[in-house]
Amino acid sequence: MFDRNSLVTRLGWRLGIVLSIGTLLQMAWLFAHYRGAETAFANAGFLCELLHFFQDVAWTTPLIGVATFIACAAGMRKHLQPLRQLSEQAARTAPENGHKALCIDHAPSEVQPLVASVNTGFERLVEAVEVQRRFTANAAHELRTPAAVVQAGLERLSSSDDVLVLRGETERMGRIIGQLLSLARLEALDGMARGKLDAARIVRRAAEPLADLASAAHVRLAFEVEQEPVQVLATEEAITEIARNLVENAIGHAPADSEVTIGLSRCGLLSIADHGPGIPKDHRNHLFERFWRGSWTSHPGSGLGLAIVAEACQRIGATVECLSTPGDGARFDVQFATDA
Amino acid sequence: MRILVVEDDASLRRYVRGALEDSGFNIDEAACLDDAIGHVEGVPYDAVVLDLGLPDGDGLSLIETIRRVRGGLPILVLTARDSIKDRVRGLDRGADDYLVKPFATEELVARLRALLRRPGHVLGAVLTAGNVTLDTVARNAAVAGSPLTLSRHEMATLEQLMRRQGRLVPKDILFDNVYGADALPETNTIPVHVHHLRRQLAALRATIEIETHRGLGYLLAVPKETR
Repeated sequence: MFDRNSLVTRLGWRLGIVLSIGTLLQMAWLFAHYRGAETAFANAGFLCELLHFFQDVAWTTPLIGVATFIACAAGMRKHLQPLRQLSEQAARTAPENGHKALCIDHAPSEVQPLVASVNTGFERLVEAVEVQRRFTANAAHELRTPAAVVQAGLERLSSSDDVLVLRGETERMGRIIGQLLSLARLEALDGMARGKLDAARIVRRAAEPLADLASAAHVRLAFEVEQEPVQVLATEEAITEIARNLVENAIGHAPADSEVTIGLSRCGLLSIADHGPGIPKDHRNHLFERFWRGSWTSHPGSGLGLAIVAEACQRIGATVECLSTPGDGARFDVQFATDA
Repeated sequence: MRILVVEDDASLRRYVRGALEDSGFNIDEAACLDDAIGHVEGVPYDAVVLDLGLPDGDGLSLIETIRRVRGGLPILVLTARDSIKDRVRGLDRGADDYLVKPFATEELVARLRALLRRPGHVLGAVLTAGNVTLDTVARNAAVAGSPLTLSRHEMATLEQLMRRQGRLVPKDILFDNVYGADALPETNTIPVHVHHLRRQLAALRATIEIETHRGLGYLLAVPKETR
């Protein structure tokens, strides 16, 4: 019958207690006063007595009011605490963090249906995000073979201007397909799966296969590591994607006969710097957005490389920052997490 | 050089065949696992190009069969899967190299040549890069016919770089191959050898160049038209 979780019940109890005490005090006064005044006002009658009662007791009414207010406010505060906790929990939830249902047990029963609906809605949202991620992954995967056929076919044609344009675009398409898959894989990556890894080894293994790309662009790579190993908290996939995409990006913007440096400090700071044109300040906010390409550069990128870096960093609790002086190259700093 | 191409997509198979034939390889085709196993058991191929996603099974199982039938046969895997996990799994099962779709056929040819350039394979005895040749049996090297005078370690360094031409040779792998895995790191004088090699190659107008990628390793760059 009584729902202990109900706000009304809880407040009702408190108000009842306060008012009962107030009334008891007044009754006590009435009783004492009536007995003491019995002789003096014997003839005044009940009406006079009632008048006295109101005159002498009326002053307690504001006090009782204030007491009621304080009790109510304190009660509300206390009983709304679970709601506040729920709000905080809800604010932290995001589809990419994986879904943890809002805790329903301590919620007042009036809001329990609301919490349940929010949970259901959120589950559906997470499901939709997951469906979309899987769709991206499957679509990219299924596109690989047809893209390979087109690329191989175009390479068999004699190179006219048209064919050269098509080859370039097909290569770009191939890169985008690969990067969409990388993004989809990173989105599915559970940040909790990170462990202590040697970043120096993984960054080196990620950079080695890019030397031929650098060589074709007449750029040299340089890996400078303060000490080995460099222990960081991450996943191998995330470190590889971060290093690979930042180095590819740097090679793409580096002028011929320059060096792209890959620095790794003992405290887990990865710095990748080129001597390209740099990045204008007002473009830096958009750098990590998907498919965003700066208008100041002619680099034929896909606009996904830095988005992959940002996603990978977010997954493993690393931070990425772009430092650049226009005209003096760009530098990307990634600070890996080093402690649990 | 006889190569088996195992790929279920008929168009891709046709183009890959064309590209490889243009580069001087003889090609046999297989469209499924069964067909491929029959081919490998009957013909002494020099290398296999293998697509992992086949209609009648996983290409990974074919790698194991090949390893059983013909231990050292080079296998180049073509695949649509490229996560680190997939890569490691493929290489663990015995694939020699890995190329993710879509790929440039030029890259496919370069990788295949690199596999065939390994010791004991068709292109492994006399290495060529640009106008430089290195006879790994007679242990001599020449630029357009004029001999280079190289020490044992210099010859070994050049050999390693030529076997993997166009790709980075990590410095630790280079060290192990030149000095042996048990050598002490203090004996590392590879930078000196590379310096000597560069000077001799430049003097004889070699078309190849040895690039240093600091902290990573060395790369023997071959101009495209002479590769």
